[in-house]
Amino acid sequence: MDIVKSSNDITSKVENALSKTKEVFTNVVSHLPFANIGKKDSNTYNIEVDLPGVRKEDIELKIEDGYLRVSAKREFKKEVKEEDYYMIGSYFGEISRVFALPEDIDKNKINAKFEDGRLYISLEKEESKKAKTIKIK
Amino acid sequence: MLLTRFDPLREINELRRGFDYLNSVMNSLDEQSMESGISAFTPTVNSRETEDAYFIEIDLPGVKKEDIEIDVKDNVLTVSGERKVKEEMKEENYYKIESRYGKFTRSFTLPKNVNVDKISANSENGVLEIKIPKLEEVKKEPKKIAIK
Repeated sequence: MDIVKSSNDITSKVENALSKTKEVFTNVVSHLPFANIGKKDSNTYNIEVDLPGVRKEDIELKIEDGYLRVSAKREFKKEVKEEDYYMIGSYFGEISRVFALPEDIDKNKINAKFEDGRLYISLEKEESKKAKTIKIK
Repeated sequence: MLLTRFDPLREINELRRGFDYLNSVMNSLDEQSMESGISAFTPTVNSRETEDAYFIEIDLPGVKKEDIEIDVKDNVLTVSGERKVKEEMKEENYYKIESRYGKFTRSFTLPKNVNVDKISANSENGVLEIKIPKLEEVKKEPKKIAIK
């Protein structure tokens, strides 16, 4: 009985591992956009994601369980066909990147702006969790 | 031999660290082989042709129009410019910067049958698109010669 149970455990762990591998490979292989990650002070973070040739309507930004996911689709312009191209250096298709966020980010205070093909995201910690300096009288 | 419990997730994490490491090794090799002072990065290019014109598209996210220059000399078209580090960025502590900053340049030899005066460019969503209209070819009718 024990053997059956532990082999089921192993099977589910292996399946889990296989899906994690797939996730790693998906992130590495099927286009990962460049991102710049910075911290303004201990309470504010900035993420910039390069998304050239993507329209604002085709970008989806989602925050869930402490992860921020940027997904987008780069398509050929209307009336332009893939066959017309001699040379394509850029990636066209689904673009996605996931960022693990530090704890205590205020979900309501996330700001995002899309300018010149780059997505600028700013994040702030929740008020109660911010580092505060205390003045000594 | 030390017996440890089989943990497939640990294997995956090691694989991921392996990729990260490989990536940073590749990146550092790249920096060393680049010529400094001439060009700090090479942007990606797509090129296509339609009946009336040739099109060159260059990916330049985060670069403003004012920082891009397009010149045509003899029959070579050169796009150059700089991706500048924004003032605010200098104040911040950056963990990781993956975009390439600095000067860039790419040149293209134009085919013979183009109308250089009518070359136009526009920038949208970080992609610079240059339109190079073709010269209309004068169609030569096959000429019939009458025999007297």
